[in-house]
Amino acid sequence: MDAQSAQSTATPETVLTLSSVEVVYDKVFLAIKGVSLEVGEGQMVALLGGNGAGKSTTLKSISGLLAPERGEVTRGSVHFQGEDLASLGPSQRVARGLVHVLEGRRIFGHLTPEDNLLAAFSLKGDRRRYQALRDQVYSYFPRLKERAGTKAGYLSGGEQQMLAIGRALMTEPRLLMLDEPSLGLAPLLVEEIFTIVRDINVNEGVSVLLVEQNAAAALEIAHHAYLVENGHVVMSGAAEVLRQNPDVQEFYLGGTGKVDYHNVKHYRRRKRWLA
Amino acid sequence: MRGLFKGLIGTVAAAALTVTGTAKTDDDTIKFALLQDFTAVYTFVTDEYNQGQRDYLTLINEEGGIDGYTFQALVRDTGNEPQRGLEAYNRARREGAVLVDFLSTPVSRAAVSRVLRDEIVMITVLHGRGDASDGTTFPYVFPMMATYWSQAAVLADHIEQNEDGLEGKRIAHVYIDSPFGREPVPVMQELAERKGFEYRTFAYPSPGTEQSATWSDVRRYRPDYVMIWGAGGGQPVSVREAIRNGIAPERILSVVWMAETDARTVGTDVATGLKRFEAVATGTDYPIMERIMETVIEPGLGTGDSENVGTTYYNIGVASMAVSVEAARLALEEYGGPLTGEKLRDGFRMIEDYDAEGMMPPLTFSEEDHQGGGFGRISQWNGEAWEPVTDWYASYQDIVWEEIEKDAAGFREGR
Amino acid sequence: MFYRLSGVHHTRYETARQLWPIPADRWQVWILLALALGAPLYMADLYLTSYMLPWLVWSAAALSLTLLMGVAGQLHFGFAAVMAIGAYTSIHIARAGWPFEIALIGAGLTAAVIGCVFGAAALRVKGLYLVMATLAMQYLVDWVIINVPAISGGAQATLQTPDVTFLFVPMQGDTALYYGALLWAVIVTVLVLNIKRTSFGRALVAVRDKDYAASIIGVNSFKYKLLAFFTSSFLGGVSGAVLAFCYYQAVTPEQFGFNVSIQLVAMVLVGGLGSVIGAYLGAGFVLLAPIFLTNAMAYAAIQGWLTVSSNLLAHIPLMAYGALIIGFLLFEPLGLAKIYDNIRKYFLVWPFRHSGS
Repeated sequence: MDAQSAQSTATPETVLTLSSVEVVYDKVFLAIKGVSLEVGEGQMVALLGGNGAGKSTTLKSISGLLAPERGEVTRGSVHFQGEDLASLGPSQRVARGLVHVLEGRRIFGHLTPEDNLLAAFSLKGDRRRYQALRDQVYSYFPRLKERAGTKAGYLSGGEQQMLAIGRALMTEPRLLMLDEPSLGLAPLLVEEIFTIVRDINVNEGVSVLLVEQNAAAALEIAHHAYLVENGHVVMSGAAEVLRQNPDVQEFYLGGTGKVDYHNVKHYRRRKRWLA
Repeated sequence: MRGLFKGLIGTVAAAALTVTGTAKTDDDTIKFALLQDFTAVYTFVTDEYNQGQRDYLTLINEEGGIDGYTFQALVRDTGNEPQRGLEAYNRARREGAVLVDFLSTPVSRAAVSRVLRDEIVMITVLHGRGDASDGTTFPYVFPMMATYWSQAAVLADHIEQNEDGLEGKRIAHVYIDSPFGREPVPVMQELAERKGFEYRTFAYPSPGTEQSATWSDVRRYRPDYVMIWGAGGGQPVSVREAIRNGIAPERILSVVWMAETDARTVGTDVATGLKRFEAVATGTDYPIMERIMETVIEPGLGTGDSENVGTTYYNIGVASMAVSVEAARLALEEYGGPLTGEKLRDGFRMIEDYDAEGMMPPLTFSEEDHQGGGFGRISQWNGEAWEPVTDWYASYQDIVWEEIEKDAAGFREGR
Repeated sequence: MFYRLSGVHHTRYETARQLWPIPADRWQVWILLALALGAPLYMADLYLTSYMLPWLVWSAAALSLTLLMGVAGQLHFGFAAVMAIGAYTSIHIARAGWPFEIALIGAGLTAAVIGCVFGAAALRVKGLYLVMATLAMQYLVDWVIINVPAISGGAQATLQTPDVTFLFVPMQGDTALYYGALLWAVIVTVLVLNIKRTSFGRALVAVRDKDYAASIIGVNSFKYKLLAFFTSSFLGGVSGAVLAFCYYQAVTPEQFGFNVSIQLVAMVLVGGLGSVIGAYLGAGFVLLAPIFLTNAMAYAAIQGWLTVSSNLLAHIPLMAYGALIIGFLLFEPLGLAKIYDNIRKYFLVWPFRHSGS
């Protein structure tokens, strides 16, 4: 998939378009090598791939967080609602409705959940708007309301993840980017959070770009998915199509059970896959 | 990895070499290196002092130089940092300077062993080591004016004259907590023992902008006289605090570092009566100053603001160069050119009763005495200017020389 | 070009683990060392004594500090006091008639012990609080030196260094002093380079990055923080002694004041925290940039390109110097060493633009 085809397939309802984005860390290390993807209005898109495939880097190139890690977009472009984001800083991107929930949550541990939410609320907004948004967050995550007065650092992992998503919602996003929301959570909690994410997507009409290791869970709720390996998009398509793909099944969904790793054919297939 | 930078330094150094050039071939200029602190600690004096020095050299050049020789001032900022001072010194030495003036105690101290080795004259006017007055131990260092020991002796003598004896008097010595502030202590202690007066020291912390705690102690001591030993910004603070604590300005005696600006900072009326040690006359009513006005300032050849001409520190600068040029003149008369550090040193030692046409006490140097006699006088702030209230005199040079000998002996042993 | 990796195939662990596994780096080091060794032959004495010599000694001091601040992550804003302890100890030992070698070791040990006493504060406090604790050390040491004449050397507060011999070589004359400084700089450089790749150095880095994470993998952070202070203060103390004997030849309290501590921190920061080459670059910059700027301005004034008062003329280099520091740090927050590293990496992957994963 290259820039040409990404642009030609862009439809009016596309929210986010990445064309051939290349990211270099520290001037010399090439982390992603031309990733193109798009997220439609109200769509939920999953970005799958192994460790170090370049998923988080892709998200950071969208939210503008590469600079603190000495990275930069050296080629390609990121368009959000038709606007080139290259010259915008992270906070300006948030103002345009693009929000990134970081991997590992990063809540403000010394503030209460309520204060965390207030911190994310735009300074320009009025009090009624704030209350409405906060109540909306509490309606999705009732657990946060119960613990509104304790320090956020004392919340459990799942609650912290909820708070991180809730905090992102306070910015009234058009596109919500989630980086590994399932990290370190019990399967039951993962299911709960994913259900809530889907509800947000459906009810609020917020587009979601979801980065996940847990491919099975992600493909269940996503409409569309991209597979990233080695800094390239190696496969993309509708979620159910990918779910049926034997390679995806084998490498991401736990396979059919028995895999003979000494099998040369398997090795070749893996190799072709990565090429 | 030791770095690419070393190579770079070499290139830059080479570039700097070509840039600064080796202009030491013109044999009819005598180079005086004025490598002073324009940016750090001595800023209160350097500008005016340096201006006086350069204006005097301009005057000599405008009058045709001496013996066909003209003078050139090599001026650099050292920021009071020994390493920058030493760099500037080495550079000046390369360019052929025969005299160097750092006007900074730390830099002068670091340079002592080098000037002795390189045989270049270093003048340490009102700074540096007092024991350098011992010409046999420090043949190339010339403190030239009264050391702090001599200043303390002159001030104590003045109290004695005023009060008909020091017996039973209380003298408080309020100083900045540094070696400079403590320097006169041994001389004063010796005098206290000899003359039977009470002497107590009070230190305030550097840089001296806050002294109130010290002065409330001074007040409890109820001194008859107060000697203040500081420099720059701390001085007006001392005066103001002393007056606030009920000490009459007439009973405050200052070390040489007290200028017109300090009196104005305190308040011209408030400070009236304040006394100070003076090594060089202030004002423009002296032949040299009149010639500077006429030949240098009026044609616009001055180096700085003409308002400064005639101020305390400007005149000290003029005097320092007047003595140095006199030494150069004597040396050229005796030995002929070109002038070297050694000849210049001998020139200094030939100076006898030189008073810069009335601006200074008569100075006489010898192989032993590089202080010039330790003369000074007392002047008093009259609301507009510093007015001399005594004649030039020196006091208790026996005690002063005891100190000089003691420290110089320490220096010799350390080598 | 200069850093071609082609043809570099390490077939043994020993070669892959050597100090400079890339031949080009190794050659560069040898060339620089040869240049440094030959400096007295081709360099005018002004540049040898006023630039090279102090630069080497200050680099050794900055290396000692970067071991503590960069590698072990313990801030120290009183390092000039550590050097002062070393300088005064060595000078008093030497004046008492002991050999210079013992004076140097004594300087290191005294500085290390006193440095450790204050470093003990580091076991309780971090960050800005540690800055306060080390600042207290600076002021305390300054005060003791100024107020105890037996240390500072009487009313003149100046101690001349006595004539000494080092390993039977008399330390007199520019060349001997220069080689003394060079030897010390090389020793510290090799030591710090190797500390960084031993288990000691790795433990220091672990303590720096997260002291509780270090302690759960069995690194005793108490012990290693103290060791870091000890080692760094030892090196700093000897550097102070070398500075006194090889460069100043006289010690006064002002040579090791608070502003010198700040300059040392600046050397480490401008050069690049924890970097060996950074210590050299930072020391060179902080030490020599003001000198070059002052001389350049003075030259411009003499040529008549710049007609300003002597007061302003003296301050222009300061402004330029400040602007340069801000400029460099804006351009590359990780210091001069990182700029060098970027250039080096560019050549390492040349003719390609990047190294891929």
